[in-house]
Amino acid sequence: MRVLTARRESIAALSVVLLFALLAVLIGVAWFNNLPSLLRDISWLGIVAIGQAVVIISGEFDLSVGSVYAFVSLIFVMLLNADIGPLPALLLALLLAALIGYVNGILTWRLKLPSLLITLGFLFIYRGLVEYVTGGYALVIPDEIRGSFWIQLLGGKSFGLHHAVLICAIILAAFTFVMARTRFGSHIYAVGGDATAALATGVPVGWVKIRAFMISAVLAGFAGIITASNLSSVSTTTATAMEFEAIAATIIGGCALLGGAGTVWGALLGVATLLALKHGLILQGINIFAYQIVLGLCLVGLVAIRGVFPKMFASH
Amino acid sequence: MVRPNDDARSGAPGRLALIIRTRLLGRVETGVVIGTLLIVLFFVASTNGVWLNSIPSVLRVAAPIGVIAIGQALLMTSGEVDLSVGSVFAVAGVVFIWTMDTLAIGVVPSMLLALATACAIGFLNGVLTVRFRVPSMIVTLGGMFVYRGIAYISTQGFSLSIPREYRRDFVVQFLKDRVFDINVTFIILLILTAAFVFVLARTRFGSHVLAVGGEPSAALANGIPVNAVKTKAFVICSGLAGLAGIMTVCQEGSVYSTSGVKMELETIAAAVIGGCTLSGGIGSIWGPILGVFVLSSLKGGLMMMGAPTSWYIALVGAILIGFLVVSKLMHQRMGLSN
Repeated sequence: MRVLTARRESIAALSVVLLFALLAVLIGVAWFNNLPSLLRDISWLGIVAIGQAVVIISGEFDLSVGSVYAFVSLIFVMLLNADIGPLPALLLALLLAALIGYVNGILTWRLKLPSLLITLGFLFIYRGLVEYVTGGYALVIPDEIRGSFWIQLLGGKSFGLHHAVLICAIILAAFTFVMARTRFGSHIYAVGGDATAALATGVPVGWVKIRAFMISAVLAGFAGIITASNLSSVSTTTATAMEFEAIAATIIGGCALLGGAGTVWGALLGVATLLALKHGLILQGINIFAYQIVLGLCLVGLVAIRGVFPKMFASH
Repeated sequence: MVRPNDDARSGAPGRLALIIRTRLLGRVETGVVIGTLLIVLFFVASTNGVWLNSIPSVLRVAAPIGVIAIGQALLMTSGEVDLSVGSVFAVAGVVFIWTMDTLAIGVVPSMLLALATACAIGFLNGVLTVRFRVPSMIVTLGGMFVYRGIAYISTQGFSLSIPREYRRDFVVQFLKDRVFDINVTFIILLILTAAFVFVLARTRFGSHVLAVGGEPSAALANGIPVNAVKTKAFVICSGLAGLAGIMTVCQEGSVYSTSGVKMELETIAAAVIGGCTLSGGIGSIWGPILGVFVLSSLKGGLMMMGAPTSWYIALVGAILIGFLVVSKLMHQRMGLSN
């Protein structure tokens, strides 16, 4: 029992195992047929949540991820429509995402303003731009480009497995390594745990946080691009409220809200918990709006468990 | 040439500058006052004064958001935040219409029941935050999802309307009505603003809210019941969100599944523009109300100038960031701490 509950990620890990087993028994064959699309959805939100986890562990928040996801993928689709070729479009869109993250970071660090408010402002700005450009409709990738190598690589499928799942797995492995084994990773934990102490020991706090914001924005934008490649379109409402889902998943997955503790794979387990519930509800034919209720209860409930049984669930 | 009052003259500008610095520019509301003036001037100048005619409708739009912003400002002053206000706004409307419809106990009891529901939600938020040590952002983020889901399910994704027999009811008509060309809901907002300005500045509860937000451990050491103060602030915030929901239902006749979406972000933006901080301890009630006025007049003014509504969303963000940056730079320049 001790082994099971010793880590911050335990609650999310237990929920994922129990949920997948329970839903497989309850729903049966349909659950297994649905697994590819469940894994795809987990990967899309998971990539965003990995970036959010890095920012939250560094002691900040990024509320703009949903709008950045939509805005960057919109720019990607616009560049494709401008016929500059998929690879340049991809690189330019990712560069834009990095710039967005840099602006978030520099405003937060230089002016010592709360990141929650700065990124809230940008949530509105990028969403407004998306609404302005799409005008309430959707923008589509031109037919002749849809079959091209890069679009297929990002949004396609081989052997029944969406490429998004592989991409997410690679990103997860990379960031698990970065966070656990590199100097930058330890700096992120140090900065989130105690910024003053980190500064005193010579950690470049500002630069670490700026890079965390850039990672979050680039991953959010990249997830948006993968989604657009798969669905061939971006619409006005793409990824609304995704910032809340990503933060909820990250917290359920064991990241400390105020930074300094947590893992990126925990955040992915949080995403898996939420989306397994969502797909389970849909497959069972339960009103889809019930998902919102379950999501909220899950978030408060799973976090409250730690407060109610402080001895049972370790805080580290 | 020496004049007799030369001494006084050399001292006066310095004292005047000090007064301007501390009394006028040093206030948390300074930014929003200047912003309000600029926005009014801008719209009056760019529409040749036609914009002034739209002020009544701006005030009508501003009233419910303002009522919520009062609660949000009070709660943020105590160092917590409520992300669930938009969903509570919708749920209060749903409960109000549902009780009129199924329990048929009349308008006023239904209103009271809806208000009580909202207050109970606030109490729950408070208890989860102070007793179970779940950060208020998480508690109310969860609440936002839960109550929005309830609103969706009970409206089945569409809307609920006030039952026909109650539409002519005196109370409903009264809240819809105007007195001297001013909406009753706006008058309610003014009364509530005055009341809460008084509460924050002159009552024991108000000083407790400021103390709890500024330095919770010091407040506790001085015998202030921190948990009770915060819980009360949560109840007030949700209660006001519920009241705003009821007011809007009376005005519009229905509640929609998407009523109040993004309102939590708008009210937090207004509160911050009006001088509140996320960390608490500093706060204002009338500053956030001016913040709401700035945001609402932007919405109407932009439409009047023929701009697409998407500009409004982008501008809310730009204004929020602009205010934060400018006020920070101003404070740094003048050597005042925020």
